[in-house]
Amino acid sequence: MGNSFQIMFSSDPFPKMDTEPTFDPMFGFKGERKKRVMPAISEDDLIAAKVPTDLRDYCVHKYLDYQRCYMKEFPFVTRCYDEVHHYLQCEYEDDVLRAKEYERERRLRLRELRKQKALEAAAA
Amino acid sequence: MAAIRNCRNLSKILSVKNKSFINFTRTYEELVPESSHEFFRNDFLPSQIKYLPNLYPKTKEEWNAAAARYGLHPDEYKPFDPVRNYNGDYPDLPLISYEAKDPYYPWDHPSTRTNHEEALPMDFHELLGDRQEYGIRQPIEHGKATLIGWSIFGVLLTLSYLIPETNQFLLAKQYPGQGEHYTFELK
Repeated sequence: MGNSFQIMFSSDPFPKMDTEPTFDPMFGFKGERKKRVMPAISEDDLIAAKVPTDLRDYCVHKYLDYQRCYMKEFPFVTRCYDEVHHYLQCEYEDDVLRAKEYERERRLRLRELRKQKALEAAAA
Repeated sequence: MAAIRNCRNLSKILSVKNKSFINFTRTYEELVPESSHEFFRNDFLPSQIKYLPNLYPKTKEEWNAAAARYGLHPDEYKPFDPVRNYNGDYPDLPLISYEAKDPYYPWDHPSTRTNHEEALPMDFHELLGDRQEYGIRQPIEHGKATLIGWSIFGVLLTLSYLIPETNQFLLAKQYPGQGEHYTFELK
């Protein structure tokens, strides 16, 4: 809520929703960041399992687990509680990572602005 | 100004100067002669004709017989206009709803507040169910109530347009194979 009102009334360069990051991903870190590992599932398997394209993300292996469990246990799908929970937890962590990327993008933009203002002040 | 005045009167001038030579007039009786009602009436089975209204009464005797058939006084009895709305000899009765009738009168059928063999108005079936209060003055009139309902909906619609998005803002979703992605942990 506060974030939205801040965006409404502030002149800061807030990034838009669902935009790509514009800065170097390694910038500002002391070491090297870990790469996100892709689940070991081929494109053909995803097509064979009829996974929708918007779900073919870094949690697709957990999605497939939960679908497999549903097919096995139907109609007693409440037995798949753990599988569903693991999938939802993975999606939640994915969202947290995106929120962190958003915050990083916002702070780096502010830093860029500060540097620009300092340069202008020095020139004047 | 004069040009505007002339233009406004142009159609009048034209219609006065150029009189139309051909006129058509048709009356309802020409299109649908009354004998056709009798003709279509004979399409029904005798067992069905028994439940239909008779033809429009033309003589005094027929009029009185029709009034007696519907249990009305000949002065009270008034059939539908045969030219505009032909319904045979069926009486054009006022539409009075359940709520508007006297609750303390000993009705033969209290659930509909009608008497046995009473002639019912033509649109009586429209007063069943949720229309039992037709003709009764309401605390909030129906038009006003409709206006209030739509205005509440309009207020909600306006608010939904004005209120800002309160979701957590996120960057684009990351899909494997579409660019390089990193976690926030260090090697």
